[in-house]
Amino acid sequence: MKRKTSLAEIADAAFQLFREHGFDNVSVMDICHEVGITKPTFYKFAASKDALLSQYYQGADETVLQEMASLDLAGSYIEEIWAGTSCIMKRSSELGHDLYSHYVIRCLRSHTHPNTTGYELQEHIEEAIRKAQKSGQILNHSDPRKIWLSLTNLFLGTGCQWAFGGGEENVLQQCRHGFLITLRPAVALPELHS
Amino acid sequence: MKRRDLEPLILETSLRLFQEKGYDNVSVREICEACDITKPTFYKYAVTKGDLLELFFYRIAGKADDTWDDPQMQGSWWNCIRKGFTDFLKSFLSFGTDFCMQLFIQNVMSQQDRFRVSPEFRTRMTAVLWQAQRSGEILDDTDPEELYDVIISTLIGFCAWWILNEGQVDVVTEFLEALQGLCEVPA
Repeated sequence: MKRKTSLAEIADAAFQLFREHGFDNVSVMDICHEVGITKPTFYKFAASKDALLSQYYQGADETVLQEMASLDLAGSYIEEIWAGTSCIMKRSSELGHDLYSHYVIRCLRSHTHPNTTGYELQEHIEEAIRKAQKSGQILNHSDPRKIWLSLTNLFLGTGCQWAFGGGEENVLQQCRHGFLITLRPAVALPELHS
Repeated sequence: MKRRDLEPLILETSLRLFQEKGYDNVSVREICEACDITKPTFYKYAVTKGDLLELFFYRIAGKADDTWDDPQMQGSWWNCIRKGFTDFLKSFLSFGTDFCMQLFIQNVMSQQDRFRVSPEFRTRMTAVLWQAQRSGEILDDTDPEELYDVIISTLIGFCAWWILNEGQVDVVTEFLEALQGLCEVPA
C-alpha cells in the first residue's frame, strides 16, 4: 500500500502515542501502524524515534520574532526579552517532563544545543536588552551579549535540573524567576503563576 | 584484619579507564581487574557504574580549597564568591567532556538529581553572599538563598553548554562574567 505522508503527520501521530503510552513504550512500528505507512517510509522522513523530538521545536524562532516586534513597539523591552529567550523553554514545558528528558539525553549525545535558536533571534534579544538598559528598565548593565548568554544558560541549566527530576515545580515558572533575578527590573514585574 | 578504604583507589582507577576508553566502554569487571579487587568488594562501594558518578560528584564538592570563604585570605567577599564557584566549576571540568556528559545523562536517567551540590557549600556560600550584600561589594539585593539557586542553575547551564560545545568554549571566563552581572559588582 502506498500513501502520501509528511514529517508533520508522522510527528503528530508519534507525539500522541508518546503521551498516551510513554516514550519508551512506543516503537517505530507502532507509529507506522498509527499513520498507516511502512518502516522504510518512516525512515525516509526521520532518522529515528528520537529525531522526532526535535521536530517539536520547529518554527519556534520565527513565530516569536513577530511577538517581539509588537512588544518592542509598545516599549515593553523586558517582556520582549522574555518572549525571545523563553520561546524554546515554552515548547519544552509543553513537551512535558518525560519527553523533554529524552530530548535532553539525545541532545547531549549528539552535541546539539537543546535551546538552540537562530542568530537573528539572538541579535533581536541583544537589541532589546540594550534598549531595556538605556531606558532604565533593568539594573543589570553588563554587556548585552553576556546577559544573553547568561540567560540562555540559565534556561539550559533550569531545563537540565527539571530533567534530573530534582524539582517537580513548573519549569517555566522557575525560568521566569531566575530571569527576573538576572535582569533586575527597576520596577517589580510579575512572576509566572501556574 | 583491618579493611583498607578502597574508595580512592576505585575512583581514581575508574576515572582513568573512563577517560582512556570512554564511559560506555568500561565494565565493572574491568574496573575490578585494574584495581585487583573482586566484584563483591566493588559492590561494597558502589552498586552500579552510575553510583560511581555520584561518588565523584561528592568528591568534587569536597575537593575545594577550604579557605575559599575566608575574606582575609581571599581579599574580599566578592573574591570568596568568585573562588567558591570557580573552584567548583574547574573541578567539574577536570573530568573532561565525555565523562561530564555521562554524569548529566546518568542524572536524567536516575531521576534522583545527584547534581545537588553539598548542603554545606550552600550554607557557606549563602552566608558569603549575604556578607557581600551587606558590605556593598555586590549590589544585587535578592534574598541570598534565591540568588544562590539562580547562580547554581546558571552554572549547571554553563557546564551543559561546555559539554555541548565539546569543550571548545572558554567556559570559566564566560561564567565569571555572567556571575559578575548576576551579582552586580560595581566597576
